[in-house]
Amino acid sequence: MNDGAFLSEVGDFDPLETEEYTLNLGPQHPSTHGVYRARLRLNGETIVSCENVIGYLHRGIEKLAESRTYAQFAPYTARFDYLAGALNNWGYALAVEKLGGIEVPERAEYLRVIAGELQRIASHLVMLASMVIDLNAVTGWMYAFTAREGILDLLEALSGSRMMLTYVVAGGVSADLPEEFELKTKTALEGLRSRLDDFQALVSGNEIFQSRTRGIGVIESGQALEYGMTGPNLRSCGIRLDMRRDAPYGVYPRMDFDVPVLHGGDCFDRYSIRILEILQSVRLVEQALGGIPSGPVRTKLKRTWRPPVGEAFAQIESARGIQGYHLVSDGTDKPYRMHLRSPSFVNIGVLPELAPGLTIQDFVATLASLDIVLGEIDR
Amino acid sequence: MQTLNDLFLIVAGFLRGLMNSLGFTQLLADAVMGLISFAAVTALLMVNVILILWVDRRAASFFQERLGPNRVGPLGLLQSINDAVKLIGKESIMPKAADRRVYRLAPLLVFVVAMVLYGLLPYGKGMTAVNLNAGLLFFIALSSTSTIAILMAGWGSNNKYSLLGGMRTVAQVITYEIPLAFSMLGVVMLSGSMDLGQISAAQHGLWFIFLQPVAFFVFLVSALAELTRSPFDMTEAEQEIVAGYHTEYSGMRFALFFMAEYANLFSVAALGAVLFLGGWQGPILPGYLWFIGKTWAMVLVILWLRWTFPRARLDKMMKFSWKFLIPLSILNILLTGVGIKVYQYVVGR
Amino acid sequence: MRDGAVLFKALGCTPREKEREVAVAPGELPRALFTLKNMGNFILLDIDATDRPEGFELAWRLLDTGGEGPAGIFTVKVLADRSDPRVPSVMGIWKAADVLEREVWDLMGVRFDGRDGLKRILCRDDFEGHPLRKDFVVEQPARFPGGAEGAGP
Repeated sequence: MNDGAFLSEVGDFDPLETEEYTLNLGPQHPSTHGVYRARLRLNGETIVSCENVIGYLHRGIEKLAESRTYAQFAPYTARFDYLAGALNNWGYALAVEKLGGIEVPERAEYLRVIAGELQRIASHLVMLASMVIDLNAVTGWMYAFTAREGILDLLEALSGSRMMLTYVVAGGVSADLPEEFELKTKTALEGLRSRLDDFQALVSGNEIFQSRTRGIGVIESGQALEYGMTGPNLRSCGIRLDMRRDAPYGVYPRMDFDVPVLHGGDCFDRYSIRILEILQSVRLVEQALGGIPSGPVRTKLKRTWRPPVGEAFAQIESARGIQGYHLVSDGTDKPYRMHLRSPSFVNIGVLPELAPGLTIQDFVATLASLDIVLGEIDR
Repeated sequence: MQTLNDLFLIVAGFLRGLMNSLGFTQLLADAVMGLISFAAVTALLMVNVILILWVDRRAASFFQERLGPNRVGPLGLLQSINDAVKLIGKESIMPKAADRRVYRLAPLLVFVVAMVLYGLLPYGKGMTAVNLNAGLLFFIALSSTSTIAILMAGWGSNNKYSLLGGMRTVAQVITYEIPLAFSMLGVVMLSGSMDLGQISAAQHGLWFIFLQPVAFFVFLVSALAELTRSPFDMTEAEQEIVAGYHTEYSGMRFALFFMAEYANLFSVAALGAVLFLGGWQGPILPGYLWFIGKTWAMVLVILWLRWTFPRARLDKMMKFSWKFLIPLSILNILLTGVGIKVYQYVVGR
Repeated sequence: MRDGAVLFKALGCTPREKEREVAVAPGELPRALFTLKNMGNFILLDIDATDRPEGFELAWRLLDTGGEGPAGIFTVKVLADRSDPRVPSVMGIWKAADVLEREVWDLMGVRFDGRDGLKRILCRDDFEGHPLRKDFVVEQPARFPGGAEGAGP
């Protein structure tokens, strides 16, 4: 039989007919780090296009701020990036202080560094743990979380709360160091170092882990800058930008620390840079504890304090990037407008460009390595 | 000592004698013995599944520096029973647009296949429930049929995640069946038979793991992939496709999948013990205790691997099989053949 | 961080009281941001909107990492008319503007011309109103399509 003649009668047909299909990754999904949804268009297991859908955690906090006094709003800030509460508190406190011209005592500045860097360590540990559990290295996840427990105990000793703290407030910090804090910190940081070694021995050199993360989800430095990416994601693409060094606040100018930079821009670099940053944060905590002066820890504001009319924008280096708070005051005791510049919100903008060509497995690894928190994306 | 070794054979002999004296025909006696061995094998399966579940969770907690189940029963031993009873009591929710017959049939098929394989294993000398002279071949052939059942589950659930899981399973399992089979060929060549009992008997001087280390490695990796255990568990990758082919299953149907996975774990580990670790061979202790011990050693290794490694990527895992394991196992067969001939020549002299 | 005067000169724009803030007319916005981008070492941090009595005040905040000394924020502000708030989109200049502009549209109701895909990002797609506006009534029963009003605890 003449196949050619038969086929020409039937018409044009592709013997291996395939079809693209849409798959929703989320919002309820074991690995989307919160209520995030990615509408993926797939050809087999390869992504053709990706669309971010967010807003499942939108709580209208920016609108709420307009009906709370400046002091009443401080606890809300920890609910933005709920893995880095102390850093959120700090950004807000800086904005209020800028607005009202409030001085902060020196001891409070050192305490802020201690709380901030401990919080950064805890946040990075969550990222490492979530990333490896998304690749099913469950034991690594457990090790990282056990390390984090030591840090959370320290934060609880400082502020009374493990996660949603309101420790850094406008004018200083809410409480002084508890008893034996130096000793507890020393023990916890030693424990952290040894656990981090265990974690790295288990995961970092593992052949399977490397094949899942090296060269996956590569972000070029130019691309990262276009998309306004900041924080460890940007520093893993080769751009050395860190607000603690480039626009320092508090007592960071007196501290001796390095800003690690990696150049690959792939998932493995985003993973490694957070480990390096944890080690730097440990250095900062130790320096701050060693050099802390005595004195008051807070410039107390009157209950009826009102800032002058005006506006202020303050930015800090949060665990995920540059977090900025914009406050507009109309002279009353409540903000007229409060806006959060959220690093994760801007960082996920890169996913629709990054995703096409990746498989589902690679997408999961890339999403985990970007380290997003839905609380600050959706507010 | 010999009595202890032949305990079950003595019991079986006694029962046959009893039936003969009662005037049963041969056919009826065989049928009764068949039923009894079926009951025994099923009991063994259930006990082992419960135990493996417990060991898995306690071993995991040991690796992860936490406690693991320790509330239900002493040392948490009754936890698995608790979970099984809970699952039986749960509602089996079926998606509205699922393909009903296929959806219902899939977990049964998977579990039945897992159960049947237990009948082929040589638990001791002369203690195989169903003694076939091509036992190994039958084992591999039968275990492949569960692939279709998993694809049925993936398709019948009417869920894209399930379909992805089913597709991945088919791809993975048929890829790794080839090195699995090839790795066993070396053992077949050395023992000259596919009868599992005879393979065990042939290892009375030296276990085959020492003669076929490469084949053992290939067998272990392929077995992990066949069992869809981590690091090859992308078929049910929780973090990617929710739960793969069993996403839409709940209650007893899910329990069947779950138990089938652990039942397969034991039977494949037992196969490894029979092929490479000498089966029921061993001094002093009765044969069946050696068999159980070796199987459990294999089970522990497989459990250990699950908690250590991250998950491989699907395409890299398949490349690993096609481009590395298959050539390696073919090379092993070649070397085994050459080795046998050389040995025969040298000894023949 | 560069001298404010240098930046103003390059933009040809009016400085405000603050040293590093500039006000431009809506039409001049793309040119201003384009000039800034070409000067190099700017990152678009944020696009922000405030509902002021005189209209919607939008601010494009850029992080200036060029020049000597610490990095600083340079702000370009535009006042949009209340009756028909429209400003040109700068998505073609900085891709980061995509999600930021969608948020301003969603919560404040300011339209961005010259781009497609301007849809809600945080609120539901069929949400009515723009929540951050001062005239948005907060305590009203929630409306769910096809369902009861104010269903809740």
